[in-house]
Amino acid sequence: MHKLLKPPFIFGLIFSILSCSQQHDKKEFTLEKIELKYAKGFQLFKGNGFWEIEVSQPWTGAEKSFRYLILEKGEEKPTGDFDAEIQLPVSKIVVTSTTHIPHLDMLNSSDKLIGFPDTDLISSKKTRALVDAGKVMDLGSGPSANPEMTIDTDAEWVMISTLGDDIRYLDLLKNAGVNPVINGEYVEQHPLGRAEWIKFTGVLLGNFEKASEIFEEVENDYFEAVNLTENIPDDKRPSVLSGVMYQDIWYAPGADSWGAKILQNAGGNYIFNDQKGSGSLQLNYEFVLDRAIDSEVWIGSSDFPSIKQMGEMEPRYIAFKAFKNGNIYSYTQKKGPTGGLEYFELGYMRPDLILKDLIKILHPDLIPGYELYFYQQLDEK
Amino acid sequence: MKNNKTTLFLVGGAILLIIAFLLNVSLGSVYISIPEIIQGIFTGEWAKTSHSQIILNYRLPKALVAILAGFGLSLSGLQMQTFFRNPLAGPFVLGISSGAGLGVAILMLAGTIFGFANSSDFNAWAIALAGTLGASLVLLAVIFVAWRIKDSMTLLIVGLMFGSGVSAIISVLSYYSNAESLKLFTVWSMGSLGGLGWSQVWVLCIIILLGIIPVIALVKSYNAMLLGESYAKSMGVNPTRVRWLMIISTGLLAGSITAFCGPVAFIGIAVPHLARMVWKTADHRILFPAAGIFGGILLLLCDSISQLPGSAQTLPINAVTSLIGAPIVISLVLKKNFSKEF
Repeated sequence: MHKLLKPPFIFGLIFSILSCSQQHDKKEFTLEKIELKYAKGFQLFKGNGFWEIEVSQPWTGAEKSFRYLILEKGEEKPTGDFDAEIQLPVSKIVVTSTTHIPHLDMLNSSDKLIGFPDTDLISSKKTRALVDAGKVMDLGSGPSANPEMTIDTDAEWVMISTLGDDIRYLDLLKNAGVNPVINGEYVEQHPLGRAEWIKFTGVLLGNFEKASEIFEEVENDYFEAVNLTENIPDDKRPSVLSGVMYQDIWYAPGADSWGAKILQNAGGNYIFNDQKGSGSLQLNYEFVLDRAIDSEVWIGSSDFPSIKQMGEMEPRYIAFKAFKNGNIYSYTQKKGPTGGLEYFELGYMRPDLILKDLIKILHPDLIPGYELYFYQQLDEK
Repeated sequence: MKNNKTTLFLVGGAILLIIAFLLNVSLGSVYISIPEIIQGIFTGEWAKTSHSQIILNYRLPKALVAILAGFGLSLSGLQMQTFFRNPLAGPFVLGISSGAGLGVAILMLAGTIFGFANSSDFNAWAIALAGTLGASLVLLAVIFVAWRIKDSMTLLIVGLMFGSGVSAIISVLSYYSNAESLKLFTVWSMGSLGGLGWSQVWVLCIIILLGIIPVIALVKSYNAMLLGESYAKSMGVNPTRVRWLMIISTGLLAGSITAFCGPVAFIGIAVPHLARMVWKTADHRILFPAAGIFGGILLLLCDSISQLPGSAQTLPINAVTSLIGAPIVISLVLKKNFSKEF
C-alpha cells in the first residue's frame, strides 16, 4: 500500500480539511439574517460579499426548501451546496409569470428580460415596448415555458412559478446552466406578503436596497388606507359577495385567504367569513343564495364584460340583489393591448391599489379624490 | 304468476322513484322543511325569498334532470350492451360522449386559444349546442362506418378508436388553453345535473322522449338480438334496421345528456346489469322500464349524496357515480356467470 493511502494519513487529511472549512465559516462567511415583515415563503441572509436566499415554501405544503447563492462581483464563493449559484451583475434573465414583470419595471431592470412564455399576456407599457421591439423572445404558450428555448436564451437566471408546469424542468434547466429560481409568492396569505417578494427579485438583480424602498412605499400606502376603515363598526360594513359559479358550484375565496383579508381591510363584511380555508371554496349554489341573496355588493366576478352577459351565461345570478341593483364590480378596467389583464400582473405588487379600489367601492366618501384603478362597475350593455 | 310479480316490481320501482325524487328535493345545503316545501309549491308562500328560488329554480329542475339523465343513460347503455352483446358496452363506447366533449372543448378552449371567444361567451345553450354538434359529427362518422361495415364488433372497435382520437385532440386543446377556460372545461367534464334552467330541462325532456321512441319499436327485436345477428335474422328481425335505430336512439339519449350535463359516468354501464340482477330476466320488455326506473333512482340518490346535505360544500356528480358504479362493475366482472346472457 502506498504511504499516502494509509488510513491514519487519510483521516488526518479529512480532519484538517473539515477544521479548515469550519474556521472559514466562523471568520469570513458569517451570515446576517435580514428580517422580512410579511413574507413567510423565503428568508434572506447577507454575507460578506454575497447573499443567500432560502425559499422554504416554493409551493403550498412543500417539505423541501431551495437555497440560492448570489455572489457579488469579484468576491470569493462560500462553501455549501446551493440549488443555484448566481454571479452578479446579471444582464440576461427570464421570468415566467406576469406577476414578476412589475418587479423588473420598478427595479429598472426590464431591459434585462430576454424571454417570457406567451408575451401576449404582458400589459406593462415598459415591457410591451420591449416585446414589440423584438427584444423579448416568446417562449411558447403551453403550461410551461418551452424548455429548449429557455435553455437557448442562455439567461443567467430563470424565475419560475410553481403554479405552472415549469417545476418539471427544474433539473434540466439547472444542468443546462440557466439557474432556475422559484418564486412562491402566491403561497403568501398576507396581501403585503406577496408584494414583499420584490426583495427576492431585488437580491437576484443585486439591487436589494431599491427593492426595500419600493416595498416600504407600498406598505405605507397600504396602512394609510387601512387606517381609514379600521374603526368602522360592523353595522356600517356593507355585506360583500364574491366569487363565480361554474355549473352549479360556486368558487369563492376562503376566509383565511388574501382576497378575504383585503375585503375585511377595506371595511366590508365578507359573506363567507366563517368558511375556513386559504384557497378557493367550492360552495353549493343553494347555500350561497340563501346567505347572499341580499348582499349589497358583489366583487370580483370573473371577467364578464357586462351585467346582461352575466345573466345570459348563468340565469341563476339574477336572483341576487347585488345583480338586480347592478352593484357588481370586476377587476377588468385595465386590459393590455394584447388582452392581458393588468390586475393579474400588478395586483400582487400593489395590494395598496386593490385596497383603495375596494374602499372606494364600499365607502366612497372615505377617499373622495381617488379613482378606481383595477376595478370597474359592470354596466348593462 | 310471473307477470304479476313483474308488475309488482315495476310498480314498486316507480314508487321508489317518487320517494327518491321527494328525498332529493327536500335535501340540500340549506335546510328547508318538507311542510314548507309543500306549502310553498301549492300556495306560493315561503319563509324566505331565497327558499323559493332554491326549490323552484334549482332543486326541482335538478331532480328532473337526474331522472331524465338516469333514464336516458341506462336505456342507451342497455341497448348497446344487447346490440354488441358486450357486457361492458355503454354510451361512451360509440364515441358519442367524447364527440360531445370535443364540441364543448372546441367552444371553450380553442376559442380562447385563437381569440374568437371569451370565457364569458359560453352560456348554457352554446355549450349544449356545441356538445350536440360534436356528438352528431362523431355519430355521423360512426354511421358512415356502420353503413360500410356490417359487423357489430368492428363498429365497437371503430367507436373506441374515434373516442381515443377525439380525446387526443382535447388534450392538445387543454394543453394550450388559459387557466380560466381550462377550469370551465374541467368542471364541465366532471358532470353536473344542477346547471340547467327550466327551458333547458324542457328541451332535454323532449329529446329524451324522442330517443325513447325507437326503443319501444325495438323491444322484441332486442330479445332476438341477444342470440346473435344470424339467429335474429332467422326470426325475421332486420339487423340493419335495428342497428340504425339503435344508433339514432343512443345518439339522441347519450348525446343530449352529455351536451347538457357533461359526461356522467357509470350509470350507462352499471344500471342495466343492476336491472338484470334484480329482475333476473333477459326479457327487454321488462328490462327497459326497469333499467330506466333504476337509473332515475340511482342518479337521484347519487345527486343527494353529492350535495352533502347540511354542508356548504358539494361533490361533482361523477365522483359519486363512479364510487358507486365502479364496485358494481368490478363485482360483476369477478362473477363467473357474468356474461351468460351475452
